[in-house]
Amino acid sequence: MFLNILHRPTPAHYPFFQMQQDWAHALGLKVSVMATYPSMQDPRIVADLNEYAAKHGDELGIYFTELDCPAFREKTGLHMDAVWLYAADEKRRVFDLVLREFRKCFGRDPVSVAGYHLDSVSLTLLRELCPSIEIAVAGCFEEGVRVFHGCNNSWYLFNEGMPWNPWYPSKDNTLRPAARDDDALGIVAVPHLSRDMALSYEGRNDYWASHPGNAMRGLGYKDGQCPYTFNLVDQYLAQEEHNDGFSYYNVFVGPGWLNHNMNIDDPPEVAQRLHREQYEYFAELRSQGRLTDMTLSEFATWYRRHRPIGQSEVYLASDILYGSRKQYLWHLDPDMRVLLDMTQGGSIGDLRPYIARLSGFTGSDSPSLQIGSYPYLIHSQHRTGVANHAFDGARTTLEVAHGDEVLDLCSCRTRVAQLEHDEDGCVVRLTPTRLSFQDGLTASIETSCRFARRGRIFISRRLVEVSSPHVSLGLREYVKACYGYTEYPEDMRGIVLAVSGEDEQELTYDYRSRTICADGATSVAAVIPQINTELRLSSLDGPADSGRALEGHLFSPFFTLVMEKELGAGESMQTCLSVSKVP
Amino acid sequence: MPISEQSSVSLRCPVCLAREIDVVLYREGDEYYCVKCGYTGDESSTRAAYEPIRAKFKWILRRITQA
Repeated sequence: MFLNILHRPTPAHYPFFQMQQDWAHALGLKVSVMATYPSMQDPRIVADLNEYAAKHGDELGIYFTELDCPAFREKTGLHMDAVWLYAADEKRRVFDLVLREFRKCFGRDPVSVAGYHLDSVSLTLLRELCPSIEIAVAGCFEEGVRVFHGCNNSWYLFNEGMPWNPWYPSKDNTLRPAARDDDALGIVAVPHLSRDMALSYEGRNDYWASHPGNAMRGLGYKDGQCPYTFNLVDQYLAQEEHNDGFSYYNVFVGPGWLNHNMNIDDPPEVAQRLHREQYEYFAELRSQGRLTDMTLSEFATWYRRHRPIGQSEVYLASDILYGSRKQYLWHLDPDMRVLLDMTQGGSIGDLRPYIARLSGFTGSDSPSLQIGSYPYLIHSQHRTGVANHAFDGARTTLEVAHGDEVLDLCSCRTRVAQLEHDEDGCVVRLTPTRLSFQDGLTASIETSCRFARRGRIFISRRLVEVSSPHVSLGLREYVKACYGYTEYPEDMRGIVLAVSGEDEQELTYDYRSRTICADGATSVAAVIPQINTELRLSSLDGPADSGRALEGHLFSPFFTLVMEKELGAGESMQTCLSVSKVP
Repeated sequence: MPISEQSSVSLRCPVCLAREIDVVLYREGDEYYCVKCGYTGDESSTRAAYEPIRAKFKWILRRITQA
């Protein structure tokens, strides 16, 4: 596993930055120091950073989130720290000022930069003003709605839908992995912290990450002990098995988390010890040959040499705190990001259509203003998922009909039985789910999914056994979706639903609860012009018995695509759920 | 004035925290109170109210794998 440790010398907490530096240096861990503009105003800090670089080989870069200080206000007339939210002309002024200050202080151009988010306008400007930049900390995985709520609706960072691991950012949208060389911005990006891939989906990404102070904020520690910190490192290490030996981790903790902090309810000595113990664990793993620490630019060089544009990645996440045995599987490639939820029968809980190649940037001159998130088609946390209160919402499932009774695989827990990853994507086979009908009939269904480039998810449902061998069951592959950026619904009008089979039908979405259907269905689809995306469910093993597309209404603002087939024991149903770009 | 500005260690509202919302409590004498919900309590009862939040983390003290 590769490790980047980053520190930033916030002047108000400078002794705690020195503490972090001392711990890392004592253990021989490589450090990238991201200097802030306020820190560059303090000659003592500048002298220290130059000495750290000379004595320990620390890489010096720039942190573009902590900006505000008297000099910044005086020279720019600005005061906001969130650089990604300025208009392009303001971003240029900020970058120009801070880069000039960096050159003055350190006598060179930076090779690495960092921020909570560096949008496409920001990174393009930075590349123009400073071509030496090779790598950027460019986003916070799944930071958005939950953190906004958790911070009393005051934290305007919306970064949902991005990669969890290092990536080549697209020049049109830094949160989207580039599809090709000519789509790439030209640098390597890494996330701001390594996040918990189960709890960042279910809750706040800023509680559950490679940041002991954050875990303390979430109360994920007790009696001064926080094994969660080490368990998370181990889970990232375990991803090597699924990604050709590659895994990555980074730590970027502001020194204010080692001082008195209003979100930590214990004395700072506890946070300091837990932080130091995390570093000691890294050193231990390194001594075992299981971890390689690098500076940011060293990692960028390695990444370019060994991880070509277009590779897919997977992350098999398990809950490591609640003890629930929950599992999620993430797949990512330049065409889509998908989450499978094994607690809901392997349903899709999150789907992002990167293949639409959507542009996007943030700032007061952006149509989306603060919302940088890449849109979803399915988000079962933000948008209902399985029915719980009123109707169900965005999700997939398999419905199984026997007489008048219909069972929903979302109500069955399953596990990953086998996971294989190759250059084209990955194949996951789940443990069979057992269904029991009220008349005593039981059945067992095995689900497999293959994620492949060009936005394709091949879904196989095999009816392994039925307690009465001559009984057949109605299997309905079910996809309920929408599009969105936050938890609130967007305008669905204009989406076109279509079914193809023995006849062809289509309707234009207008919240009227209409249904179109066809016997002998070959596919059902939705074209979503708002995000240039088509979502299609196709039958792969001959026409299905029927296919349906359902329009929603304002109290259930979704569309539903269904393919139905009657199966007997030993038979299977093969479908492909695909996302593609439409003009 | 928020407690974070009055003393070195602050306390957050346990009711809001159970909903993953950070709200630093205000203080008047020995009583802490929340400006976002109806919670009030002294320091010891507030700290005690954190324990049910921790209790949902059944593996909070469990080291799952060993290096």
